Parts: sequence; structure tokens; C-alpha cells
Amino acid sequence: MYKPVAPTQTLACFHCGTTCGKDLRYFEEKSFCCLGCESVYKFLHAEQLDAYYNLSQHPGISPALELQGKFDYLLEPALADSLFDFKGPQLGNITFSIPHMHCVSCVWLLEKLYALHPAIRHSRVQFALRQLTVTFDHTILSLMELVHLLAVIGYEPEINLAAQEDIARGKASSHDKKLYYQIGVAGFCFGNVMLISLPEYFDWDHSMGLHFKQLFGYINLLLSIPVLLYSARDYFKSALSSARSRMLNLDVPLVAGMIALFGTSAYQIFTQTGAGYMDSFTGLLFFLLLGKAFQQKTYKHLSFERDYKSYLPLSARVVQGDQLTSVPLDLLKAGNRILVKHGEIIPADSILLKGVAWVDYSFVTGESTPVEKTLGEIVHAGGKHQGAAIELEVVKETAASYFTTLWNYGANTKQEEVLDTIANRAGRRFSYFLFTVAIVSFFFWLPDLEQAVMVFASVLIVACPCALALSAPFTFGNAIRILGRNGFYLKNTGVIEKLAKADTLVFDKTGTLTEAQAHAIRYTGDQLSEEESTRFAALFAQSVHPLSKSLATHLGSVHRAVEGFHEQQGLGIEGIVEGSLLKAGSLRFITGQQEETLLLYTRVYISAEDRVLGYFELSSKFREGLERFSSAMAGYHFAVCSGDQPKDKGTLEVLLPAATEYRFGQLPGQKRSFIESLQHDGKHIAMIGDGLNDAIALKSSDVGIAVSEQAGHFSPACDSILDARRFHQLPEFLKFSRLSVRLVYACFAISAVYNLTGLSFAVQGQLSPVIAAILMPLSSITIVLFTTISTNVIASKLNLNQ
Amino acid sequence: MEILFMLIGISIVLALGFLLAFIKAVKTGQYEDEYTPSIRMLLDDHPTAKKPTQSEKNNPSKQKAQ
Repeated sequence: MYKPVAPTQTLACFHCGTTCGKDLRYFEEKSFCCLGCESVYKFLHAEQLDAYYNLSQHPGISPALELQGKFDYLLEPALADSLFDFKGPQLGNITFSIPHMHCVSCVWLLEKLYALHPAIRHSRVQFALRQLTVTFDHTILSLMELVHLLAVIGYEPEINLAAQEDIARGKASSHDKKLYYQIGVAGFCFGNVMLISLPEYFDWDHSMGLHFKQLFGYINLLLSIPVLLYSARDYFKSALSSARSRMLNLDVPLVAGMIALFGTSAYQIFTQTGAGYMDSFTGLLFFLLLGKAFQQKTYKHLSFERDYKSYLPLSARVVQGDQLTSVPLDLLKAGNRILVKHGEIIPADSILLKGVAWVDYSFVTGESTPVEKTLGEIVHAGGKHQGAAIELEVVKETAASYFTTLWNYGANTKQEEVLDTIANRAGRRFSYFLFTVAIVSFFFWLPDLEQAVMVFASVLIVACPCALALSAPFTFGNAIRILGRNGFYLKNTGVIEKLAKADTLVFDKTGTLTEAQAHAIRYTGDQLSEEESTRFAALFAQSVHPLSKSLATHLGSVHRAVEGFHEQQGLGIEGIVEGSLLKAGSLRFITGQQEETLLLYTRVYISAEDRVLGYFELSSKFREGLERFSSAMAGYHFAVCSGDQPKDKGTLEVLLPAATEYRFGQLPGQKRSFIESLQHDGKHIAMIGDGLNDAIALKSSDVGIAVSEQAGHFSPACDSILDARRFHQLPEFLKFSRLSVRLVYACFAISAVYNLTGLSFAVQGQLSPVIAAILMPLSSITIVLFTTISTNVIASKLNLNQ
Repeated sequence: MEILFMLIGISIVLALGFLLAFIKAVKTGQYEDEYTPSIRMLLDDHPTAKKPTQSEKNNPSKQKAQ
């Protein structure tokens, strides 16, 4: 099979690093891939901001085309004002969400914004959230101009409901500081109590005199009170609510230990019969709170809970005579005439009035081929329009559109499940064991009541499951960080357990197993010389149709002049390149004949001077690494559940295991039924999807994985987000989750060893404060070290070492 | 040995001072952004040749030397 050759020139753009193609240009001996990149460079160079290019390799982002007028909707004062954080008479503060920022240079340039316009006073980046806050003089520079400036240098802010939600969430999360305060108090008290307890460890207090012993005891008691009342508060609350709901969790034995520790120590200090265990008590809380903080790793620049509204733009362009006004989406009414440009999303169900629409519904229904719509046809909301600008008349308001109903279909069914984690189950078993031992020991020592009580308390103290309580937070906390570094972002640590439990994988097809924007291309026909293929490449580059774009990239975009270019929508294109008349399109367009058989894949025939040369066959391009899945994930049950037609079934049957179940042409509700039927058979489902049509399935599965092609782009509500570039590592990610869970069990074993050692002291009545004070930190440190080293070793063994 | 009473008292007060400083740091947003300051720290601040603003013209001491 012949593959046309791409041109041999491979220069990297100085600004953005992509290979320069047909628009190659030079400036000051530097090559640029397009006018946009060159403009940004010139702009920055004129303001002496060249350090931008020194801090990172090719840090630039190619600015979007057609920026003129793109932000006119921001001229609307009501809309613009609602976006400001604060707007004074002269200065205003606004926070932007800029998902494109990715490196040190980005931070540097965005904080040097004041150098680009005198009205900009100050700008500050919050990289973790991918947000930029700008203070500027809005009387000199309007919001629209500011956004335009950012777009021109490649950092176009995302202005839609999703971004606004993110910004609001970022502000809200900054108020969640209670845990830090609790750690601070616990740490302060722990350190001081340990210091004051030193004389007791080394038996110095005998020589110091009785009043010192008393003093130390009371100081310890005083220091432990804030820890009990403030730092330990959440544990008491949780233990109480779990006791009420009759489902014991790990906090119950923890609280039992805390009460035993504090109570025994207070008693010993008041009656001067001992030094108390306040060091163990404060230390316990300090370690526990640290574990809690470590476990709370979240990815603030991603959202796992998108609403359908987040996908749509903030406003639509309404045509009134000659005027174009921006109308917020909720105020769009039936009968409004709207204008939609290339690449924009249809905001509401409408009828096409003017122009021809090629609508890409892959995100909404999973259909991989764009649908052609002509005058008078209904165009549903949520599709992305490609082609020249079109005018439509709104038929249904956004909230009533089919798109919205898709979303709300499954909205009521997801209950808030309380995750019965490994830790809680272990905690329950541990509680039964602990209380049994404590009660038995009590009765054993019973003739001597004082001793019996002391032994009972000692058992609770030493067996306090500190190490048990730290196993899961530190193991899963490490695991979630390692996975995040490798492009797999989990909503919280509970997702790891869900992933480990899954035994069935259900895949969506379009955008998940296939690359959304690319095609696999095969050519059948007469061999094309390099000259001929570059000529056809130039022809394809003139059209904005998705098939043309794929073919242009495939043939290698090189610039050639095309005269008399003409596109017949839906049929084909033609033009004169270097003297020869070239045509490309369907068989009917080229030869006037109909296709004899029903085609499996789209064919684009080409002809030169009316002589048919051959045809290109375009099919879905499957992601790399798919062939490996059946061997790497041998124990799993596979299924493919797609909204698309069965045209790729043959390819899939080769790539995936033989026992795979296939369902095509599925509506979102049918996907959900499929998953529910599998769950009914007792399977644990991991659903992997990417679009809105998967949203309901993702919610109803046991664990939902959303595949995302670009950071910051919309992902439906899910438990985890997988970077599309790391899709091929899915087997390793699942294996890592399973091994992490096993690691937690290993930690339980280690803590059991410590517990039994301590218990042997306690039941004999031999538990001194020193022994308790040593055992607890020792066991905690062992667990933390063991788990940290092990997760890193496992990660590098699985090649997850980013 | 009685000096110990005073010493212990002083050390606790000192430690309390640290605790209050920590609480104040958390309150004023020290831990809100844990990543960007690490980048910002490494960036050199080469002055760009921008036109001096009015206040800088009046205050020659504020102008950075190249």
C-alpha cells in the first residue's frame, strides 16, 4: 500500500515547538510555524521580554486564529461586571482561568503582564489552579481588550460557566484551614509535653524532688487539654455518629484509646500515682492529623463534578436586523435568531436558517462522523459546528433541550454511598478483638480491682490503632500522588480501593478507544509522486471539512497556490494547483456514478485533469497500546458500549480479547442499563468514557474514568480523569491500585506485630509510660517509611516513574 | 534548682509565640498556594525598559540600577 511522502523540511517553531508546515516564516533567523507565533514573538521581543524563551524550551502557545471580534460579548456591561472580583471607580480585580499555562515561562510572562500595557497594575498566578488574577485600570483598558491581549500572546482565558465555577471553588477551598490549626495545636502540645516528660524517662525526677514531679504532671495535663478539646474534636464526632448508625468505623477504637489515655493520665497525675501517658496522647493525635492532611490530596485545577451547563458558552450571539447582541444562555428564548461561528457549540435546539452546518456530535452522542444539516433541519444543542458561520432560529430554550435531558436522565439516581473502606472494615475487626482482650484481662485480674482497671486501661492504650489508622492514609496518599504525576488524576483516595475492586472494564468507543480528531488513512490506487501529493495537500488545506483537515495533515501541509477553489458542501472540493485541475470527494462527485456496495468507511476519491487516481479510506484511529490490553489485563472482563455505528467492530475484534461484549448505537440510557445488568450479575464495573453521552454510565458504574485529551477541557462527572496520552498505561494504573491495597494489608500486619508486643506488656500490668511512648511513634514511623518506600518501588517496577 | 520554674515558664511562652505565628501564617494564606511560590522564587527580576510611572519619576531612589 502506497503512502504519500511528507516533505523533508522539519523545522521546529521557535515559539511553540511544533513542526513548521505550509505557513513557515522567518524573522531574525528564527523559524515560526505561523503568523500567530511570529506575532507573539515580535510583540514580546519589542517589550524586551525575551527571557520568556530562555526559561523553558519552546514555551509558547500558538494563539487562536480569528480573534477579531471574538470577545465582543464582553462589551456588554452587565456580563463584564459580573466577572469582576472587585470593581472600583478606577481599578478592577479579575480572576481568569487559563488552562493553557504549563511551565515556568508561563508563570513568568503572566506575572510580567504590566510590561505589556500601562493600564495593567499587577498580576499574580496561582499555578495549581491554573488561574491568573489581574488588577488593572478599567477606565483605560476595557475587559474585552484585556482578554484580547491575553489571547494574542497565546494565553486565552476560558470564559464559560465551568471556569466561573472553578474560580468560585478555588476561593471557597481557601477557607478550609481548620485541619492546619488542629495540627499546629497538636504539634505544639506534643513537642512541649515530650520535653517536659524527659526527666521521667531518664528517672531524673527522683533527684529533683517531689514538687517538680507534680509540676511536670500538671503542665502535661494543661497542655493536653487543648488537644483533647480542639484537635481531637473530629474524631469524637465521627466515632459518635458511627456508633449511632451501628456501623463501627476505625475512629471508634481510636477514640477509646484516646479516652483511656487521657483518663488514666489525669487520674495518675491528680493522685500522684504516676506520670501519665500524655506524651503518647498528644503524639497520637499529632500523627493521626498528619496522616489525614496527607490523605487529602486534591487536584484543584481539575473538576470531577461538571454540570452540563459547564460545557456551554456563557452567551449566544443574537441577530436583530443588523445588530449582534450577546445574550446570556439562560435568557435565550424560542424565536431568537442566533449566529454560530466555526468551532463554536450550538447553544440551544434550533432550526437552520442560513448556511450549511457540519455538526460534530461526538461528545454528545458518540457518533464519530460529523452530521451535515441543511436549511430547515433541526440542529440539537451541544454539537460543535464546523464550517462557515450559520444562522439559526431557536426552537427550545437551553434548559429544555435534548442535551439537558440527557444529563438529567440519571441525575436523581446516584445516592451518596458511604464507602466502607478497608480501613473501616479492619477497624471493626480490630475493635472486637481489642474489647475482647480488654474485658478478658479485666476479669482475669479481678480480685484486685485497682490492678484490673489499670490493666483494662493499659490494653486500650497500647493497642490504640495508631499504626492501623496511618496505614491507609499514607499508602493511598502516596499512591494518589504517584498516579497524578503520571497523568491519572483521582478525585480522592477512596477511588483507589474502587479501582482495585473492579473486575469488568466497559469502554466507550469514540474519543475513548479512538482519537477524537484523527483518522487512520489508507490509500488505494495509482502511486502519487511527491509533486502530486503536495498538490493534493494544498487542495485539502483549503477546506475546513474534518475529512479534508485529516487528509491535509496526512499528506503533509505544504504551501502551494490554489486557484479557483470551490467546495460543494457534502460532496467534494476542486481547484487548480500549479496548472492541473484537481478534484476530491465522493464517487458521485468525481465520476457521477453511485457506490455499488454499502461502504464500511468513508472514501475520498481523487482525480487530476478528470482522470481518477484512486481513493483514500478514512477510519477511526485507535489509540496506541490497545493491542497490549488483552494480555496485560488478562483477568478482566471487557465490554465496548458505544453510541456509534458498528463500522469499526472488525478492527476492535482483532485488538481486544475474544470474550469482549459489544454494544453499538447505544443511547445514554441504554448504556446505563447495560452497566446495571452487569452489576446485577455481581460484577464491579469500571467505566471508561469521555463524552457527555457517557456521563450517565460513568455515574452508575462502580468507578468512572473520564479520558481527557486536553487539560482544562470539559470532562463529565467522574471519579478519575485519565490523560489521553497515558491511555496505554491503563493496565499499569489498575495493577498499581491493586498492589496499593495489598500494601495496606501488609501495613496492617506490621502494626499487628507492634500491637501484640505492646499487649504482652499490658496484660501483665507491666505497661510503663516509657514503653507506651516508645511503641507508638516507633510503629508509626515504621509504617510511614515502609509504605513510602514500597509505593515508590512498586511504581518504578511498573514504569510509573514520572 | 528553683530557677527551673522560671525557665520552664519562659520556654512555654516562647513556644506559644511560635504557635501563634503559625496560626497567623495559616490565616493570612501562607498555605493556599503551595506550588507557584516555588517557581516564582527561581525567576530573576530583570528590569524591563518600561516607561517610568509618575511616582517613580518623583522618587529616584525607587529606580532599579541595571
